[in-house]
Amino acid sequence: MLNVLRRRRGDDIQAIAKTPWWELHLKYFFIAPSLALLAVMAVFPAIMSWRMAFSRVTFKLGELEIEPIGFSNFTKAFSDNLIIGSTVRTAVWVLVVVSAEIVVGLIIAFLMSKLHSRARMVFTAALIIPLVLPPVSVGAGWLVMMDVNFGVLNYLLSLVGIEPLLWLADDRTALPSIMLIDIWQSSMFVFILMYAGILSLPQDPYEAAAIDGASPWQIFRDVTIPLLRPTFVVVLLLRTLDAARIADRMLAMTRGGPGSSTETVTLSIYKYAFIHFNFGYASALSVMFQVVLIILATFYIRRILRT
Amino acid sequence: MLPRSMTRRQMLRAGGGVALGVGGAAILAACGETQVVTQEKIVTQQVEKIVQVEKEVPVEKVVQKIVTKEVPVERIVTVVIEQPIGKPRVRLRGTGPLGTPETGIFDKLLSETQIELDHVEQPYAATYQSLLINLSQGGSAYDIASMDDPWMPQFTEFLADITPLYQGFGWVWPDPDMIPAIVDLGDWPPGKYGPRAVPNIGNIQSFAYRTDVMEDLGVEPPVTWDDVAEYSAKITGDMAPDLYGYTIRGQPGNPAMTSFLPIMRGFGRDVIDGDLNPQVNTEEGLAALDMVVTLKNLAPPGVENIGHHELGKLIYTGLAAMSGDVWPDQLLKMYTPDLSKVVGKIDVLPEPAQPGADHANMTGVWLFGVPQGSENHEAAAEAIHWLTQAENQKENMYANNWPPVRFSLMDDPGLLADFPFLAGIKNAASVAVPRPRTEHYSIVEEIVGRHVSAVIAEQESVGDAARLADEEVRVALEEKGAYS
Repeated sequence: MLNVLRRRRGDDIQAIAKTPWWELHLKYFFIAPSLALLAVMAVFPAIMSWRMAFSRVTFKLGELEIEPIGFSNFTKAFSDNLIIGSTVRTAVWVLVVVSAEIVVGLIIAFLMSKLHSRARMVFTAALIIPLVLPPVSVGAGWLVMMDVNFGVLNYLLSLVGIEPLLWLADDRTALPSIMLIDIWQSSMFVFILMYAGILSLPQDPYEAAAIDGASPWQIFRDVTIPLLRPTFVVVLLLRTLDAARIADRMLAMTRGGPGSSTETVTLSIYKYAFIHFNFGYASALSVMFQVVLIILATFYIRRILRT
Repeated sequence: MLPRSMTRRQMLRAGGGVALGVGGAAILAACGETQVVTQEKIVTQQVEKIVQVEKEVPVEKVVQKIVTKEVPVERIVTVVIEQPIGKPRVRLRGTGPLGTPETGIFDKLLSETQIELDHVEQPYAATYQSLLINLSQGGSAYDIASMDDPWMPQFTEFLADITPLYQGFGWVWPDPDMIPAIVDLGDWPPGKYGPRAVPNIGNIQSFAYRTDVMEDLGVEPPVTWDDVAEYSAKITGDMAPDLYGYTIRGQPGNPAMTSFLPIMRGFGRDVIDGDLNPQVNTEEGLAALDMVVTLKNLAPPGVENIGHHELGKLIYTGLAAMSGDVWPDQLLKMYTPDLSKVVGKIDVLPEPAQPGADHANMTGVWLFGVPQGSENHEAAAEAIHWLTQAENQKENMYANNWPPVRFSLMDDPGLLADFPFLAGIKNAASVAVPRPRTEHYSIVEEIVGRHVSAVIAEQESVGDAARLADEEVRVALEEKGAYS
């Protein structure tokens, strides 16, 4: 047997030796265009961003003047009150919206899995509508609905005798209002992943639990949730990264206000880059933000591989 | 029996063979003789009739000969002239407010000048970013840039000099019919680079008020900010929630700053002085911020998060009686019967000012420039000249409510009849001043505007906001080397 294997391996080596060089390296030719595109669109900007992070950048006609200044841009971030506030706000945002979206998405997915197949189709189609809308359009629509004086939400509240709310105009309610919109829209993304996860679960554990006399709540808690763990980790990874980068919704609805009560890290980076033209500092902030997200992503991916 | 499997090499060779075969067949097909089929169609048959009359013959002997001659029908050939003889067509790209394609202004430009103008429509912030990158990098993406006047200090060095371009066509610059204060906005620092932009939209911020409400109060229109506060307190106290005295924009950055600047200037100081020293934390600055708090408390609920459109809506729906942050496009809505509840009840004035301070309406003029990186300088200058002629400015006033920059149009009886507020805008223009002229203005605006917004939202006290705004402006400008 061993001899046969040795002979086959020898045949393989001989075959490779006889293969023309172009055929051996043809694979590189095929992936070259994608690699070139990736280099131009992603790698080069990333390298430039890292370089700018350690520099003072000045615009001159037809050129960028990049003067190295060491770690100054990085140290400045730790004493910048706007960035410290934005970081705390972004962390709260991620924690609240991702948790709420997972709960809402899971509940909808679970209820949907109990429906008749035709009803499922109808509801699924209706539920994914928010998902296909661009965040800026959603923001503009909700901005009109949340208008203090002319919005439909305050009108509906007035019908049941509730005083009008300031929604986006009060620094205590502005961030929660935008969170509500994000939860309304992004929970549907979580729902789709969770729903797919629930439909692909094996039936044996459910049958065993039923024979053992488990209640529906016990089955949900002790069977469904543990089996869905890989899906949870994927959802957490995708939603955390996406939620952390939020800026467009705030830009469309409040410009980060009132004051800076809805300003997130990405929005601050945008302002430093395109209003202050401090590309060096904005790049340093981006690099730090990037590192935090990479650490988070690595943590989640390890969990996925482990599960 | 055919083999069921194939090695990779065999597959590659077979694939190569097929590809060669298909490619070869295509090449052979392409090299073959081409047969052109033409279709002839007889449209009509021409018949020539020749009539001859013999001369000097008695009447009774008149002989009429009729000869009918058959003429062969010829093939009809249509010649398509792609381009009129003379000037070639030029295609330009521009961004910012250039005109409204639906009005046919670009078609008219094409027919009269052979210049085809592609309009790249972008929101305000995107226009600014796009121009900043393109102009500073010497890019040729745009041939015409339409720019807001606060951007000029940043952009002038990246724009082509207007004078030689106009002189090349035999035109005079500056145009004596244009308002000089507005023309000067295109020259920064004054005299250093020469004029780099041509004004197109004479946007001026003004103070708008309800004439009927003032009559009911039995008072003259406000002259000072104290008057505004006093009248607002009375209006809000007597008529809220149906009518509030004043409205202001509370969104951070540009909106809050644009509402705050006329108040600050009305107290006799600007947000930065001529040496770029921040001025908010001064006696006048603190008084102006106190005035903002007073007025905000007399405004409709929710002004903490309103922008330009929402402010206009509060006035034309009849919910607010006064504002010092009103622009011509909002005035048009206030005069539109389908939208407005206050048609004929609005008048505009110069911004109020405290005793001893100057009235200071803010310019928001849009100017055309030719980027240095453009490859069509002459054609761009020709298009700009055409677009800023009186006839076309008048058309834009009707189509877009873009106030003209020409004396001849400000006094045009037809325009004044159709746009009664134009007279008020002309008065406002006489005392208009631009925002602080520095290439760092956007930074000042973002920082001060954020703190004014925080004051309006009661997140920061007046004292804290003024101190923080000044500190942050100084640090940011120091980093930019503004004081060196």
